[in-house]
Amino acid sequence: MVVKAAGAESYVLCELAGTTYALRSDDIEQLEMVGQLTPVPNAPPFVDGVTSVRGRVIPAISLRARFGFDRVEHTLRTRLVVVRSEGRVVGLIVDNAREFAAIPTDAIHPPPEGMADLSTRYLRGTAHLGERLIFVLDVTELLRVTESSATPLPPLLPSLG
Amino acid sequence: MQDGGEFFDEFIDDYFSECEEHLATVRRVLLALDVANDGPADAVLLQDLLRALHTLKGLSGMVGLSAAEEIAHAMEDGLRALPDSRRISRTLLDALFSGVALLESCVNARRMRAEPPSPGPFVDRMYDIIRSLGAMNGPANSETVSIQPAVTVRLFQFAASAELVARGVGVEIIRQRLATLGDITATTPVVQANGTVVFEFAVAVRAGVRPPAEWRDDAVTWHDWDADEESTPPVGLVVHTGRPRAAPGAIPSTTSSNVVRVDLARLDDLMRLVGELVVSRARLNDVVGRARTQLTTSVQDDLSDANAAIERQLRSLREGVMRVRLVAVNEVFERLRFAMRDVARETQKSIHLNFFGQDTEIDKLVIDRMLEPLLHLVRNAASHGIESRDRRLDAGKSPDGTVTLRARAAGDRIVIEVEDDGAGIDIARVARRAADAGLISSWETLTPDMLLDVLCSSGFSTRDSADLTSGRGVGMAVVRDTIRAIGGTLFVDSTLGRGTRFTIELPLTLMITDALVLEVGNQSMAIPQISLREIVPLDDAQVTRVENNEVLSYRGRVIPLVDLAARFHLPPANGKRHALIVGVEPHEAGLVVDRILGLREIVVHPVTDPLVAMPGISGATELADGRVSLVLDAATLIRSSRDRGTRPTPAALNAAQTPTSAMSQRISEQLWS
Repeated sequence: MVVKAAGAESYVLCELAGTTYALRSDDIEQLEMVGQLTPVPNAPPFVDGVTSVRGRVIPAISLRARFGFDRVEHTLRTRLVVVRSEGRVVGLIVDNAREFAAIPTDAIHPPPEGMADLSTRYLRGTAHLGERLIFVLDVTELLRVTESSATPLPPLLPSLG
Repeated sequence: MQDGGEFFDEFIDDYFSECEEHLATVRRVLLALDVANDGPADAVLLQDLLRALHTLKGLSGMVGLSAAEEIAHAMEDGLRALPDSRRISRTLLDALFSGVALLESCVNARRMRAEPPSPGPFVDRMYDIIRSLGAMNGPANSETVSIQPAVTVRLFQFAASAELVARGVGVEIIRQRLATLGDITATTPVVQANGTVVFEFAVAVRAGVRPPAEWRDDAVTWHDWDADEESTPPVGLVVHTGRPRAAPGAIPSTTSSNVVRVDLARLDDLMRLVGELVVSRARLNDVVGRARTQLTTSVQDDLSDANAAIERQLRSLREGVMRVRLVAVNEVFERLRFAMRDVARETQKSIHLNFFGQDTEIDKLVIDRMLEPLLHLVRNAASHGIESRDRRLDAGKSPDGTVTLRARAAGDRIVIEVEDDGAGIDIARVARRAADAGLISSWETLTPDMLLDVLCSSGFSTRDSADLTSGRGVGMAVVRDTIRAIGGTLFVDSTLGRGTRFTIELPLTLMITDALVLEVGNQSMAIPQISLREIVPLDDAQVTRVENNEVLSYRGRVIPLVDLAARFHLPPANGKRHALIVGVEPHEAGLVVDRILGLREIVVHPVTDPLVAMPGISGATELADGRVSLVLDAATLIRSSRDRGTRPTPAALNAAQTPTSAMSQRISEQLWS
């Protein structure tokens, strides 16, 4: 683990369709290989199913699908990032997750204007690590947004049909 | 906050759980006194109350929670100031009620590490009342006890032996003898160092009653109390020669002391371990099966025996661990009684609260989470369901309303019902309002599930339809969410003018269960065996299409089929299908599946995350190959078949009446054996 510098937080960097995203280490429970996924009927399209992680059954979200990229075959580098937020434990499937980085809080800038409004809600901001542009994700918001878009929330759920 | 490190933290948890117990006693007694407020208060109850308050005071002092200490002390003084008639005035009773509420908030504040409320105003009020009673000179003078109890708790010991049994003197006989002295409040078997068992009886002996000396010949011992009768304070008196008790001042009354408090988290760990063991054994079982051909017969037999023994023992182990977690729902029901009293007072209604099945046992964790939703439902029933006295009389009902709570076990679920005999929900009116609010189309009629959806949609309220469901909006949404989060389901039934019933189905516990593993659209799923009645191979001749649905002729009846592949948007099966008959007539259905894979013991993991908590699925399980399978929820699936209007018409019924009971082959028996 990276020792926290003053005013900096530790992040796990993951890649998704050639873009680097950062997830706060404190939100992450563990990194796993993606195991067997069991599809859940009628779940939102970006949910790949449920999977068993150390004795718990948790939902697995394809972050590619969530962010509008095409799904790709899983490889040896594909990772399940198990995050915890507000009592929920959810797995995020990413192309890879190989690096830790300490990002100073003041190096994170607000999301650029003109980005699709939905995504700015779970984007805490952007940061530069050397030449690389990094999107810093807010896990709590990501899961919250995911949840509300999961249930399309018409006032009346179609009656169990 | 003051903090004494880990030791103190551990101790404080004990403090909270003990407080809970004693607060429950205080609440119970106050309610009983409230009901019987005209006559003199029952002396036994008063003793219980004083004892509980005294213990609360002592415990709070030990953890330095002086606010709670002062409140309990003032309440105690208030009780001791009672006149000889033991008649409790309404003012005093109300003060005691607010006292216990204040005590509770003090304890909760401590739990949240917040500042406790100030006891000052309450204490002042209490001593004002005491002064007006004129029975006391000063608040601290608690030695001048003015209650002369009609009973005193005494301890008796009985050493059972084979010789006594031969003479016909057993525990039961002794119990009957002791009961002639007064109520037996506790019985505790104590294993002695030499291996014999001694039974300790706590008996609330009526004043003036003495046990006959010849009882001593039958190995019954007690401390003679004639000598110290006068000098011993009557309250909290027990002649106790045995082991030291956990809490100073605590006296064995209705709770026996051989109870160990265990942190739920430790039990969870244990349960998880048992779950892992079950999965490991399933793997072992597979290996044993594969290795069979390469072994000699005798080794095979030994292996099978050992394997079967492990299975049996595992089963007992998991049942044992599960039982430890179970508590009677009464624990929560009693607290509702307390809330009900408040509502009845606020609304000036007279309401009876009835309990049925309060001994039903349920997982501690599940029932703890149910307190808030139940509170809400009971409050709602009392304030919005039950009509005013005048209205009830106009409607030809008894002037007093009734709210009934029922608990019962139903297979692998626990069902709790909250029912009122009030005005009921005007479904047509709710539908109109829902249509006005754009929640439904104006031509739609509300099925019970849709009604619940409307009631639970946040912000929806039939406020201007006055007494019916006003204010139910946001609260009901929370109720349903809470129930869902622990894997439960909420249903509503209402008849206009007759009342409303909310039904909550809850999982009994974190479950390990026997389940049938099956295949639907190439996906394996499981269904708890307990929900299954029969497996019927589907024959096209038995299946009739009614509008958009299929029904099955089954044992002379017609039951709706739920095509799971269609229901779950999975590819349809090719080849012979099976129907799993679930539910009880008339609420039954046939779940159509592709293949039956066999019976397994599974560990059910809750699937409660909103992303994947779908109706019809109650959880997931890990099969021996490490793959996760979904566990079907028969109850919801049956309801879905009903609510889609599959109830067949009489014409369809006749068309489908073919002699089938002979054709439906009972293969379940083969599977179970």
